[in-house]
Amino acid sequence: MGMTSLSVGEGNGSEGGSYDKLIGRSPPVFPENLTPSRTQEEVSFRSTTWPGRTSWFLGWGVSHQEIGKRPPRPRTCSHRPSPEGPSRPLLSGLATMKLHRKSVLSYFRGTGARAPDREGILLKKGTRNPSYQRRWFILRGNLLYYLEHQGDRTPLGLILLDSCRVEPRDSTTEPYAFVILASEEGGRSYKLAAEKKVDFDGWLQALVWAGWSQLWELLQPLQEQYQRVCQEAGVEPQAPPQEDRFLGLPCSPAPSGFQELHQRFGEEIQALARSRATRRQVDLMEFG
Amino acid sequence: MRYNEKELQALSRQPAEKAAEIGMRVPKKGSVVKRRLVKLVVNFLFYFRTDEAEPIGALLLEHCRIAKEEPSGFSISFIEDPDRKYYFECSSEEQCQEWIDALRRASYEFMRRSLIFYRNEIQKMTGKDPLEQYGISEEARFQLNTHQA
Repeated sequence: MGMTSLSVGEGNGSEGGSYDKLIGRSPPVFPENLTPSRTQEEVSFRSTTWPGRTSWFLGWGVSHQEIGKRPPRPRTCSHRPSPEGPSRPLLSGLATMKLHRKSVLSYFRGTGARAPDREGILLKKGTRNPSYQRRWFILRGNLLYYLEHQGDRTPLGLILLDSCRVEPRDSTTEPYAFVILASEEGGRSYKLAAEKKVDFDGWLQALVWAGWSQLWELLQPLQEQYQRVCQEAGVEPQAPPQEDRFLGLPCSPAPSGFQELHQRFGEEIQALARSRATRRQVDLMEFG
Repeated sequence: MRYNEKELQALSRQPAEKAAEIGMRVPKKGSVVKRRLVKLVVNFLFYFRTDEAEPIGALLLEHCRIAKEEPSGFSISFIEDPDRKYYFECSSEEQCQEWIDALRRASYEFMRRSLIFYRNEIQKMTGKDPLEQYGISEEARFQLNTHQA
């Protein structure tokens, strides 16, 4: 996937063309504000060879229950600065919703299983600081993370792609630019740009296919086709493999007694130790 | 780690796969079961106070274990913290099993695994790659086993 070991944030003048003038030195990290940035003027974009969906808005019509529409009760604000940096600013008078960070971070880290769907450098315009900063972006599933530096253990930020749509904003002054727009009015937009055409095409393609609903819509007909094909072949359709999510091991049927449980734990621990050893080996190979 | 809370709120307002009032207990010392509106949207589980429009919390349903808990309940715990469990008490065994199935199916990684499985099996049986018609057979996200570098 063309990962470079470039330390993000330093200006590497050899690539990037006109962006070098737009890239500022790393400013102090500002808290992201939630008010919308100035929306960029509509610019015509050069058509690129990527699937026809230039933007989509996700609305997924499965059974829906109405939630009480009373506006939220203002509660006393609980505001805890996060250890990684500035915390989210508060909406006036309302307590912030707790996003379970560990699950999001755990998914980001991948726990040695699948490689991310895409990763690489993208230029990101700050909200208060109008200059572009190089950030390392990691796309995993329907979540787009960005890091200050490749290899950072904790992302700088997270973008929920199912609440956004992606649109190219390619122009002569800002080549390979695109924007991720929140679908809600008053939501923010993320102004991004690739440094090369191949990255521009690649990222747009990847982001267009990143939504949860996209995957679900792809999965349904495939599942039906599988069942049909099985029927025609006179074969019993199987359920897709259940993985033991904790360890990436195939799940066997539930243990019948303590002995089996004890043995299973032993095997799981051994497998975990083996996978850790393998990962360490890989790390050593990369840096040794 | 920053995120835009409005994105999360927008997500919580999207049509849900499942929503119900369920008893919920968070893994905090001394916490008790509270009645919450629990709503499953894509691979997020939101929970609300029953009379409020904005969620008080959200869990990402990836790398998690969803286990049956007696009686007629289930728990969600995460790979990095397996002992801290979110407990849910359903009104019936049937409701409980429906939720367990729905939560497992909601995981992006579960769906991806399923898609790769069906793709492979269809290709084996018909000789044709079913993703070709969509022009995405080379998409990295649908390949078998691309392991962490």
